[in-house]
Amino acid sequence: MRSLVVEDEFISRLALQRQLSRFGESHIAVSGEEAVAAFRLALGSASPYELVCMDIRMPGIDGVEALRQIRKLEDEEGVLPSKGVKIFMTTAVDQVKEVVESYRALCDAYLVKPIDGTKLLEKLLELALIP
Amino acid sequence: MFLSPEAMESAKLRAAADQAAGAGPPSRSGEDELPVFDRDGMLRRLMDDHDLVSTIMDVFLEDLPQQIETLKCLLERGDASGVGSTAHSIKGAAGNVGGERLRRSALAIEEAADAGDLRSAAGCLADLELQFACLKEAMEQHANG
Repeated sequence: MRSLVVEDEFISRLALQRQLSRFGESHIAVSGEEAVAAFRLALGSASPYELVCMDIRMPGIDGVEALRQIRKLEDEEGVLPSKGVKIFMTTAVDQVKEVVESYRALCDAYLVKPIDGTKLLEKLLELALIP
Repeated sequence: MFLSPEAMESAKLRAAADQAAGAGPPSRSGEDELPVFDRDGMLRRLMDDHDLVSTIMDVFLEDLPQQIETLKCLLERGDASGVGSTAHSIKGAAGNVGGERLRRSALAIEEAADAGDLRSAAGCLADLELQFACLKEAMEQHANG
């Protein structure tokens, strides 16, 4: 499973990337802009991302806007919604409002930070990202 | 799979959000139920990966003083947006290491800054520094014990 962790806070990024690295190559982006650029590059390659974990509050374009732009890129490339990348929004408990907005923009799940490895594993299994 | 808004707004999440929303500056009564350092919670979240726990604690202790300095500079400059973002980062880092009281203190600053109330944000700074000092001590005790 090839994944992209989008997170501007170093420790959250380190923890999540190390956990996802157990299941395959895991890249990082530290901003929404970087995330969209990395996704665009991977989408045109032989090995696109299967999972994006997206923080919501980041400087520059936030996670919700980056999510919209990623889905737009998929639309433009003719990716069927059912074949689109799985996107988990990572959110603090006090950002519930933003999570609701994210769902409208078609993400697949949310994970409350600090991320619990067991819950991450459950979501990966639920969405058949790992066997 | 898409979770419905109803599922998303599960009682559990609502309860957690309510708890977070109610988390203001800590009381001075001394009856603080939040732990300074929830090491067990951290270990559980990181699935007992002791190497990762150790790495994260080292990085945290090295990085946090710098973040606190940044926060002070931004407060002096009156940069509410920067204060909110930096407090948000401190909150995230603290949450990861199980620094529950530091997390609460950072949340109070984040919320005040987001509301444009830098006076209140500045008023929480001393508590933030105190909570970091307590957390650092607790972490070092664990590391040496």
